[in-house]
Amino acid sequence: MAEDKTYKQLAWDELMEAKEETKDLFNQIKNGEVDLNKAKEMNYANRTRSYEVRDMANLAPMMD
Amino acid sequence: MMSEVDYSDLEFDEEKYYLGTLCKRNHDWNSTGCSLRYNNKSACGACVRCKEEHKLGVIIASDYVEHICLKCEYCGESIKLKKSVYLQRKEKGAKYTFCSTKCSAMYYGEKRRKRRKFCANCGEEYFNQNLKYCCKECANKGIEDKVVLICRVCGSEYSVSRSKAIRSKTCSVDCRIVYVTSKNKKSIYEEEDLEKRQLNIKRRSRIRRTHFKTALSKAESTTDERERREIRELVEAAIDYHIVVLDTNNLIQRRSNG
Repeated sequence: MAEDKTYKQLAWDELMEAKEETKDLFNQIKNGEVDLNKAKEMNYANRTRSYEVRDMANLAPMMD
Repeated sequence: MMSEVDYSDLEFDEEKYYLGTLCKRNHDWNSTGCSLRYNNKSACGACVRCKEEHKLGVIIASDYVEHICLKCEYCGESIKLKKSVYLQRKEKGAKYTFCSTKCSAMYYGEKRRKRRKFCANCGEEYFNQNLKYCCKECANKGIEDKVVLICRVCGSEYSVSRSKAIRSKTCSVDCRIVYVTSKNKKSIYEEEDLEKRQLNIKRRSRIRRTHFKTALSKAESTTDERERREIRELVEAAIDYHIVVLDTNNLIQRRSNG
């Protein structure tokens, strides 16, 4: 259950999920499977998310 | 006791005598403030006049040969030693004085046993000074203690014992032949991949420094080893993610530039 998880575990889960998505995007762009303009939009959303995840990972040890 | 020997007409011969410190019977030679002493080894710098008096039976030997009273370093027994002998031993570098060879052997034996030596594997104290490990089992375990290295030719990981890790460069004989015969002792792997790896290490440390100071300071301050490991693992995973994001961004920029 999510309520039982510590901040570190939550940050870890979020991190893994975001990493998988970014890797997928990277591979899609590399193989030319996605349009460049769409890729830019997706990347923009990804970058915004990356800041959140990074802060979460950085601050989670202090919260526990 | 008055001297019965008259040696005032004795000539000073440099080969035989020298003018030394005043002897304990105050035999002053020609009002020089020094005693005339023998040069040769057998006389051990004894005063000439004292020796003559001893020959005539006026004094006994111990009265003109200087002695030093010492204590045996092992048993504590008092020793009376000729000063010249004592000085000779000092010159040779002897630190301690013993009453007998037995005492000397006992003293140095105990000292050797007291010298502390610890096993390189289990850390227990043992007495054999020439060995690295306390027993055969520890020696075997010590050999098993291995380090993982990267081959400079093929780039694969291989393990060697810790003692060989400094000079080991390749994983196998085939790789070694390639390494030795290659120009400047450098392979393609070493030039390209190692540089990449080093750049990656630098990049990671830069990200760690700039973005994860808070988490790492928490890891440093905590005493719980498990928690510290967890924080570090989380930070490393976050750095991996950060690098993936940066790479994706770079790739898009490269593609849009054509």
